Amino acid sequence: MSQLATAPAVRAERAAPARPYRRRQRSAYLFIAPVGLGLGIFYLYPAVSTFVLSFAEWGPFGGHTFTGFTNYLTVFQLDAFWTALGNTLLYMLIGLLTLPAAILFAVLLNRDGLRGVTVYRTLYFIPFVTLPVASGMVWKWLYNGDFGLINQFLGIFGLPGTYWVSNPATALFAIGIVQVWSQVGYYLVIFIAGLKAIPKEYAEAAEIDGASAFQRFWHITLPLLSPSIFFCAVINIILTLQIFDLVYVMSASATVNPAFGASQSIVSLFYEKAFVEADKGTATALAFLLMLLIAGLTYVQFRLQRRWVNYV
Amino acid sequence: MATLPLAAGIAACSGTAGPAFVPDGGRVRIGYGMWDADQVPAMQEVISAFRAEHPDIDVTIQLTPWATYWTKLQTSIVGGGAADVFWMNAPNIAKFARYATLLPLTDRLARDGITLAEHPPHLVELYRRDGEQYGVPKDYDTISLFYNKELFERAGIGYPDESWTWQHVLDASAEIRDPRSGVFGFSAALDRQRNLYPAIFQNEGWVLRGTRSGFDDEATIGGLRFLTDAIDRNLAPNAMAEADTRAREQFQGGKVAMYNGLPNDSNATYKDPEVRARTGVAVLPRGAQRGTVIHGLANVINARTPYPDASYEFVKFMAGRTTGEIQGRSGTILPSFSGTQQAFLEAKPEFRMQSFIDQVPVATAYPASVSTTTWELMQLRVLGPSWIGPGSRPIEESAQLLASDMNDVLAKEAV
Repeated sequence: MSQLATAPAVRAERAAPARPYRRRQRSAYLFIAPVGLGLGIFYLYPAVSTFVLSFAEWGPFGGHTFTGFTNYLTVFQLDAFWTALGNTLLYMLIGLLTLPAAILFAVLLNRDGLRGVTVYRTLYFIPFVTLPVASGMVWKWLYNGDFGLINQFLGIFGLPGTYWVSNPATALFAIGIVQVWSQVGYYLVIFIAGLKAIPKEYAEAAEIDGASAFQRFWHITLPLLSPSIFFCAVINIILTLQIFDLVYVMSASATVNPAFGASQSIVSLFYEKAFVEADKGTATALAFLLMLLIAGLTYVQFRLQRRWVNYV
Repeated sequence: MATLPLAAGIAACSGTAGPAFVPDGGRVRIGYGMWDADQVPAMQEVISAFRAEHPDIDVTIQLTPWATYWTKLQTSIVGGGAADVFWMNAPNIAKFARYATLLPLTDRLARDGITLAEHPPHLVELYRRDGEQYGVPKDYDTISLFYNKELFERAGIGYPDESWTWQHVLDASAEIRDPRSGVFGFSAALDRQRNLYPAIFQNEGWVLRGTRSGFDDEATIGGLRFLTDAIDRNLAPNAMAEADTRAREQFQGGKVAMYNGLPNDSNATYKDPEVRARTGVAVLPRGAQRGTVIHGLANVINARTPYPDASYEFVKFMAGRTTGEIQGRSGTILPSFSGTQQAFLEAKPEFRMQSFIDQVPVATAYPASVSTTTWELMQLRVLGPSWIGPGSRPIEESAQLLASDMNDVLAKEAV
């Protein structure tokens, strides 16, 4: 009797908190739904179908037949692929310069008593919010071999200029630098936030112990900033491996650029294959290989982070 | 006034194969895809003239800049949003025809008794694939020499004319060349239609025969060498300079004395009164023989259009004299309908536009196959290193490389 009487009570006790939990869960899914749907439709579905279709040959106007690894073999036999891969890795290395530059500017802007910080921060941030196509066009003008401001400036000092974005020897670096210029403001903002989170007491204590400004930066600021640096490095590498718009605007969009091959990135080769040559099979294989490269490099960074990133 | 015979024609063929044009329960709206903004006013006028005959068919121009025209067209054909009628060119016709993306016109044209005899035969031929007519010629172009009279006068040289040879070009360039002000004799840019093909054909070379590339032929290489030699001798800007500032802009800015241009290159040149006054137009100088490349656009119909009949009516209208006359009068393009070119010549009396027409008999058709876009991209990539000036890869080497790459692509076409 007593057992019978108590059992429902216990059940009721347990069921009572369970219902709001499940309801909470349901509303959580509702909140996730818009983003989840977007990710599913615009990222997950295309990514999976790209992978599946990279094993198929496409007609220029749709329709495909599965051909196994043919597309991957085609890609590996393509000289342009190896050149583009090398170029893309170089873009990545140049792009990494963004981080020290951003840290330097962040430290300079974070000094006590500096006036007009907001103005500087805005100035640094503007290139990041400017349309890459627009800044690419302007930079292309600056780089122009015959009429560009850069060569005119060099001319003042009697230095020889070149056709920066059309010379196969300089095009990649010229474009890479613009990438750095356009990204620096974004990382700057993250680093400033990171610097603000570091308690002043550490630096003050070190100063009392006689540490120089450089020692304070090297042994205190930098290690405590490492979580921000790690985040920025991951994002930066992912973004620069996908460099396309600047390359397209500054180099490949000129119909006759001899630096076209020397500055082509994997994504711009992908564009050429997919949309100019209408060879979507090779293009999807390229896209998937790039995804593997990005995933691989990101994984390595996560593995290595415990060696140098300090989470206080 | 043309409404009556047209209506009779429709009535006559409504019983035969294929539906005749019947206004689709009222108004039909078709899209017309094109890439040249200069030609929009003339095309608007064509549409108005067409609407006067077909008040039930609305035509909307869909302008896509050249740089993205083909990529967008190809994608939108797959996606199903492409224009109903659009511009087609030589490099792309074979591919579009092979993949059945265009509406065949042979039967419809035959039914209406339209033979296209008023258009240059090799242009009509260009848009006929496997016995099926897919396009109706709209305009055509050859290449002529634009020259800067001021620079010639300053150097004390007579203007180029039909007696000129490559040697005249090189000699004049040596006189005109002024490193201090950065003025060059002529433009030898890596531009296939304006420079490469004319030079190749003038040297009795060839680009494509069946599935063979002509780039390893001595005559072809000789034509290309004329261009690279001029760059090596510093008489023409190298490819880097040409990539930074396009030849036409260099010419308008007075930085090159001669450059090869298309008929529509004259539009921008004519617009600026100062440039207009100092510009002359002549036939291309000869190499081993006279030669130029001839190309022309056609109007084609999207095979997946929901309004094939209305689209056909529009294309048929544009095959006629009225459209030729409107295009000619606008001065923007050389119309392909014979007898309508006079208006084009009169639109720019200061330029000797007759040069473009004079060269038709010596012109070679624009080379094209199913994979034109692929091997045209190769030309740029493989020949580029020979266009950098002294010390760059010898043209023989680049041309041989290109021929072998191009042959690989052409071999795959046959499959």
